[in-house]
Amino acid sequence: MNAVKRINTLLGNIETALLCLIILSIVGLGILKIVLRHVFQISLLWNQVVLQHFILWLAFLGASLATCENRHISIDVLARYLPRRLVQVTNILIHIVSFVIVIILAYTGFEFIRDEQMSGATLAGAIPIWWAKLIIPIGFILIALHFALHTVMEIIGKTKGEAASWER
Amino acid sequence: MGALIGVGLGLFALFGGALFVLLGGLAILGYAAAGDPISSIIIDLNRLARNPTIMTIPLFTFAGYVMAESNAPKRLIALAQTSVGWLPGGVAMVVLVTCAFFTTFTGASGVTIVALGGLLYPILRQHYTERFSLGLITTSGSLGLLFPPSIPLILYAIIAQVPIDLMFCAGIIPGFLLLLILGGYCSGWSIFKKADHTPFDLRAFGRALWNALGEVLLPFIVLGCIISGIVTIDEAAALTAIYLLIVEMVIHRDISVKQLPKIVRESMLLVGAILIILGIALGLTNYLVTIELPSIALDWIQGQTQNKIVTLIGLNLFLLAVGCLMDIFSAIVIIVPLLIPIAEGFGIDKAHLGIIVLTNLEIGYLTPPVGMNLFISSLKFDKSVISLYRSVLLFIGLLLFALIIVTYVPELSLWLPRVLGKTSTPLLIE
Repeated sequence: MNAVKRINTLLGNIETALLCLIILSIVGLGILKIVLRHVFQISLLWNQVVLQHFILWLAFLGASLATCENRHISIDVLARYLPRRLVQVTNILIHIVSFVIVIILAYTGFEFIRDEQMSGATLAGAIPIWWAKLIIPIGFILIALHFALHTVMEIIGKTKGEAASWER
Repeated sequence: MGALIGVGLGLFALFGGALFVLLGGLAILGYAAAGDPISSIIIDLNRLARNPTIMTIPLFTFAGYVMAESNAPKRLIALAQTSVGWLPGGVAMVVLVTCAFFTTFTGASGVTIVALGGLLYPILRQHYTERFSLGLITTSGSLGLLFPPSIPLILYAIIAQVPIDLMFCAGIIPGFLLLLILGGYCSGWSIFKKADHTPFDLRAFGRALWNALGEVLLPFIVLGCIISGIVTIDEAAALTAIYLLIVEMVIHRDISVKQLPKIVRESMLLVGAILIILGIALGLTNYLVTIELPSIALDWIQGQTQNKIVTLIGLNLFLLAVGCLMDIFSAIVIIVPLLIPIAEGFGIDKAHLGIIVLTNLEIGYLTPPVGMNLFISSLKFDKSVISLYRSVLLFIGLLLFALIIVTYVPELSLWLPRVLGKTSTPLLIE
């Protein structure tokens, strides 16, 4: 029973660890860029490209975390004023609909990656650029996974019918 | 069938479904109905990786959260108390100034009330009634969002394709106007009520300034670097992050390495929630443009009126309604692409439009039913949301007054950028 909740938390912790690494890299690369330009008068093109691709990773890992904690930005007008039992039921429905939509997005994400593979563009030397973009479908899969876990958690009553909202 | 899906998605949104899922669902349906490939959504989402300005959002937010976790709130409040605390209504001004400073870095995400509210509320209560104190803190929680480098300003610049430094300059004077109106009211109230105030103490001020110097210098360093062109905006954001990490971890030793994962988690959760909406909305907006929705809206409005003043009134009413229902980030991402062609049709400057939009949405933080600050204050101070509605009414009135001035005096937003030579040549995303 508790396993579902534990998987959700574990995934969240892995995402947090990755986010820490990425933030440190972004700050590091940003500073490197300033130093290289002002001290050595050189600018590395790959630096900028890598930096900009990190944004995709931040966006998806962060959004995945938001799903993990059920803290997505939403218009929660009704849910705030409804009885908890009812919210539990609507939450289950909402999680299932979200799961389906995000899975469709993940599928189109993989299609997008297939097209990128054909382009053969590279990032920082020999690394194909689609590696960096792989986070798009994988991120959607992660988000879908969290939605699935939340559905189960809500059904077996591990959550208390809390409305999704991000100000906690 | 279409109506059924529409009702379904409407209910999905109202019962608290994630907004990015709703937008994704709409985009999928739209492209599918038009017979276009759904993967257009992902191609547009991929544009997130083409715009260096977006990099500033995670970095400034991270920096803001680092500051919120440190003892910077205490240092800044001490500085505000010794510098403006002696004025009539000084205690209220302490709240306004420190909250505004904080919000510029944390992006009005509610962190201000959480980080500062607990410290400021007892100070306020020594001088003011409960209702006034609650109202003031709740209002101040979103006050600084017109000052650079607030996340809503950056988001608007990205969406409207206005140079970011132009937006940064445009917000400064209207931002001070809001502070001035609220501060002026508090002063007047204190003089009228003959509330006592503390005398000015130069030595205490010097000490507080020295303690808070690291944080106080930050806006000058960042803005100076950007406006002079030494660094680009995304480099300035990296600089801000590393600067605050050094100030809070090495100089003040407020934050240990162990606390960093929690700070990263909290800040990136917010950033992820915003960016995923931005990414999906890029696709949806593109779809709406292909079905020419913005120009249909423009034609409809121009059919109703040719008058700029009337349009601006309509714009304000519309945005206030949006602000009641949506948070500021998604409102900017979703509404602004539709407003730009309308504003251009009526000769409203894009930078000025941005300030109007942000001021309206700032009021939205305080308006029922979903005004976010109301709920955060309600949780933080353990007061009913209804009592908070009452406490902010007066402040909503003051902000509406400021909104009218900001809307009908475009020079407030446009003068400073022009003097500093920032022109509105469009910045292309591609």
